[in-house]
Amino acid sequence: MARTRTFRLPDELLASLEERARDRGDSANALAERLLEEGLRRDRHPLVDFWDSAAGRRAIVLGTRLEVGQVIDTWLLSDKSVTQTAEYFEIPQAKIQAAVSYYAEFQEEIDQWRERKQEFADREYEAWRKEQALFT
Amino acid sequence: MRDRGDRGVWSHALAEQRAVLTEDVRDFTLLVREWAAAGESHFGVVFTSPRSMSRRAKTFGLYVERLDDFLREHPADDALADQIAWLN
Repeated sequence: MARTRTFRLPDELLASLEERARDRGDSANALAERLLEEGLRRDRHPLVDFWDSAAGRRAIVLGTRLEVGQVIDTWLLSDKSVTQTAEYFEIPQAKIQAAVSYYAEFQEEIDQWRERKQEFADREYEAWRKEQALFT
Repeated sequence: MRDRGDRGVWSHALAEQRAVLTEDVRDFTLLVREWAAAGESHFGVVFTSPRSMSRRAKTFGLYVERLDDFLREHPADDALADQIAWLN
């Protein structure tokens, strides 16, 4: 449930927020809510960042292109070995551990993301397979 | 390439006239559709699934073998132009 809370913010900051919201086609409220939410998450998980992909906003491991959900997929396939997962992606173990910590806090959200991503891939593969069959 | 977003990778592949090999089906499918809708060409996308084509150390040999076979079957630089293919 949403509640109203008043903040006193500098004019420049508000103007910057409104300008950025216009650029993105968002409302200032929606953008402020997202930035606040992501800022709080970053505060707790400093090795996790957020960026826009073609399919929407996503949590990634800082300094990489790796989505947290993608790291978790590999971590689960690697018998939950942080060492093996780090070797696989060739990144420090601390970054894998950071993804696991983030997953622990937002497991439902990440699992939904993983499920949607897999469903999309399965549909695309089936459509491609049917199309290929027409050529044989 | 690690610090580039999907669009950065896509632009780089276009500039170098390369196909993209990726597990990221959703994001790159959407990019391909966006590109096609704008009437632009690309040099192909090859998708793999971590479930059937894992790049883990234990199965990496299989991955390389399949990719090698695929590339031998498609030797031309533009063999995948405007196409999506799957290695599965």
